[in-house]
Amino acid sequence: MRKLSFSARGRIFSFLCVLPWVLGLCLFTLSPIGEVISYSFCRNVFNPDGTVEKTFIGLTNYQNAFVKEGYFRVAALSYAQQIFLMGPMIIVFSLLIALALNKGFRGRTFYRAVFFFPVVLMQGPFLSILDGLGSMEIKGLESFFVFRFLVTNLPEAVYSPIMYIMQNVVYIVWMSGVQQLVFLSGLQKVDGNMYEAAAVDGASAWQSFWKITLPVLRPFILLCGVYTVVDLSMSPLNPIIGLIKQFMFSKANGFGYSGAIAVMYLALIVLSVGIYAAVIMLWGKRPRREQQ
Amino acid sequence: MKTKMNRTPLISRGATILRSILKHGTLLMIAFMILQPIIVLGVTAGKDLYQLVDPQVTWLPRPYHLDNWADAFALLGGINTLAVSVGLAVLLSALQTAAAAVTGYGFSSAYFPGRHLLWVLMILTFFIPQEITFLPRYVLYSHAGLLGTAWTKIAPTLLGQGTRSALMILLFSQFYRMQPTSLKEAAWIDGAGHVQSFVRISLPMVGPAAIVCFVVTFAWEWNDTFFSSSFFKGTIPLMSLQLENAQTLFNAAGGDGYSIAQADSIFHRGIESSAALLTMLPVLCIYLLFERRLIEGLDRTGITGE
Repeated sequence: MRKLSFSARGRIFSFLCVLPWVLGLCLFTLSPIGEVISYSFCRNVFNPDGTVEKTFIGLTNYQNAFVKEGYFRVAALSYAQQIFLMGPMIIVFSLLIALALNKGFRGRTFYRAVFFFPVVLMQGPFLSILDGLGSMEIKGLESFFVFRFLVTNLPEAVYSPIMYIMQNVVYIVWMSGVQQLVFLSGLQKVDGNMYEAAAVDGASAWQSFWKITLPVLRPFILLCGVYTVVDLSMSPLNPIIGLIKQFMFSKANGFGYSGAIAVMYLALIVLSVGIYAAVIMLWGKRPRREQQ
Repeated sequence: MKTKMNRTPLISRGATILRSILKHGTLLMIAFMILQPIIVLGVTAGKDLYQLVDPQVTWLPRPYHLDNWADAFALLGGINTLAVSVGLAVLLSALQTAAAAVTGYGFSSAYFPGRHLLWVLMILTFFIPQEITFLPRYVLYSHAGLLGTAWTKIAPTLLGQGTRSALMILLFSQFYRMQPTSLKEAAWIDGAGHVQSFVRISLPMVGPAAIVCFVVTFAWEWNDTFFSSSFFKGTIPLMSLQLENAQTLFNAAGGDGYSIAQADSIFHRGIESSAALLTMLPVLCIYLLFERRLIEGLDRTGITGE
């Protein structure tokens, strides 16, 4: 050790800091994922002594999960609804709240504390009790005049997403605590002089929002998008997670079935994160090219 | 701009007041939406049988019955369960904070070969729900004879693979990156080693990250029932598990189609509600205790990019 230079020792120290995590990664994440993938191609028998007997059966588990029994398709559809309808609404909602809370006014800290509340509290068995009591959805929405009008006068492809979002307003509000804080800290990075300059040039508040605030917030929107997808994917109310749990110890299907669902789910999550990242990055880049 | 100039002061003042009423009205409505379920639970928790079935009693049961709370506390296992649950959650949060603080430092101080690859892997683990790795971990623990012990949760948390550990490591390394290197350099010139500069300079400055990590992990661990019920096998009594068991019990009592039994499940609603609120209370206390520092810590993170 004596012969090593000071900076080399620094490198060794930071490697030693990461080392336990690397061990954990191999033991508790990488090798389990490899195992799940191998389970998904096999029929597995769990022996009492803790070992697993695997017999290779090819794609049967996948066929059962995706083609033969409809559970995964139904759950995947409802997951897609959550990600692509609820997700954007969570981002828009938290941005609006952040804009409202950005300037100091009386009661700001109270609202901030209440809006962050669900991140810490609305979880686990408590969440399922609330869900059971029916606090998660707004009932009887269809009977309101506005929504009756929508349902009778618009094609289903248009009104059903709107109804879906309206029915899940509570969930959207609950899932947006962290994103609000991210946008709030993003808004603090916007230079106030830019608004002043824009106002002198005759820009309205609306214009400066689109031309100044949003471009500055772009990296924050990307971060919130990824966080929202991950958060929705891990939520206890997520349909696919429910499916994985339900079939985990089921004797009839064996846990290769649950493993196949888990593998497909992992692919779905990566795909969703990829779509979000691609859309947000492309959407932000276009106007810049026009200017050049 | 012109119309604004021509407005009389009175009208513009009226507009300001109107706008602030609208703003507060909307914000209060959203705040109510968040707090409403808790208020409903609090009200239901104070109702006795007659008040539960009486449609006239909606908001304020008079008298407010406290026996439900006592019954619920006994149902949840009393002071013993409370102590065990708090102890376990505190232990796991402390371990997660320590692991994330050390790993985050490794990722943000001196470069070593392969760090970029590990960093990418770290970000990728952020996308993996723990349910996916559950089965192999179960097999692993069962093979090692760890099922039914707290090690099933302590070991992965200690090695940085606990509940959303990747997010916490990310948080800590953002905090370390915001620190000026000149501080550490000054310490090195004065003869401090790398360990010393980490413990004496870098660590004391990441207090806000530690608070965020501790509080949020506490809430996650406190509310987790799926992993604790499968890994602990009932050997460790936890409040959230007791609550979930009580819930299934009540649902079973009301769910078998008989009208009398269904009414029975309404009778349990008072106890169920107070049990839910009691289970939530420790998390609520910790949140209220650290709320300001938690939110300020998250505000300052710069997790949001440079």
